[in-house]
Amino acid sequence: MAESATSSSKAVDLDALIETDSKILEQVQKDLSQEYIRFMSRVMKERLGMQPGRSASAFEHLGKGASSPPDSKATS
Amino acid sequence: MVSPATDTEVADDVLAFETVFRRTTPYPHFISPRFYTERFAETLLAWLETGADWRLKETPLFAQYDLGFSKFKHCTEIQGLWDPAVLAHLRDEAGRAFGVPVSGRINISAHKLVTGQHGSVHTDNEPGETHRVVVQLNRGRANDSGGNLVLLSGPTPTDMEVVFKQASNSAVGFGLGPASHHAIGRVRTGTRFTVIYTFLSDAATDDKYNYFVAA
Repeated sequence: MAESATSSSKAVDLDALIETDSKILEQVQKDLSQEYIRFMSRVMKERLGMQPGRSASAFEHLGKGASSPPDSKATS
Repeated sequence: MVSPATDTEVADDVLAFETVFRRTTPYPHFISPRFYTERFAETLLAWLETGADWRLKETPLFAQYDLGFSKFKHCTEIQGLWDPAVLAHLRDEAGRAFGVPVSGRINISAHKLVTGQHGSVHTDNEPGETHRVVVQLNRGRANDSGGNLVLLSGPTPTDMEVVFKQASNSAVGFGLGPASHHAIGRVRTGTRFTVIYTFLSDAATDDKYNYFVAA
C-alpha cells in the first residue's frame, strides 16, 4: 500500500515535470524542425560559397556551438 | 574559520535538491522538482530579472542572452550560488544522482531567452565538460509558451524523446558526450531563465574556463 502511494505520488510529480500533451509535443517538434532546416540551409549555402580546393568543414564558419552541430558526423 | 555546522547551514539555505527521479531514455538523466530553497530561488530569479548584465549571443545554432557568474562575485545577494560549501553539497548530491563522482570545479552560467530565441539540436560534447545541471527559474510559464528543454536520441528533430515542462525551480541533469543531443525549443512568449552548472574534467584548462571550486 505504501509502495503504491509512493508510485502514485511519483507519477504525479513527473507529470508536472514532463510534457505529455500531444499538441505541445507536436509544436515543439515543428519548431525544432524549422530551426534545423534553417541551419542546414545555411550550411549548404556556406558550402556552395566555398572556393574550389577548399576542404575545411563549413561548420568552422558558423561560430561557437558549431563544434557539436546536429550532423557533425555526417559532415566531418 | 567556518565550522562544518555553519557550512551545512549555508548549504541548506541555498540548496534543496532532495528528490531526484532518474531516467534512462534517450540517455541517462535526472529530474529534480525542487532544486533551490524557495527563498534563494526567489532571490536569484529577481537578480536575473533586474540585476544581471546579459550578453547577446547569436549563431546559426542558437540565439540567447547569457552570462557567467564569475564576473558577478561582487553581487553579495546571490553569493550563496558559488559558496564553496554549497558547491560541495551540490557536487556530492549530483554525484549521487548521476551515479558517478563529479568534479568540484564547476562553471556556473545563466541563459535568458526571449521571444523568438532558441537552441538547435547539439551535444555540447567538449573534452573539458563531463556533466550538466540545468535549473529553470520563472514566475510561471504556460505549457505553450515555448523554450522547453528537449532531449533527443539523435541529431535530428524527429529523434525528440523528452520535452520538459518549465516548472520553476526544477532541475534536469545529464552527462555530456557524443550522444547527449539536446535542444531548446523556440520561445513563443515571455522570458525563459535557466542557471547552468557544468562540471569540468581535468581537460578543462584555466585559460579556457572560468569556474568555482567546491570546499
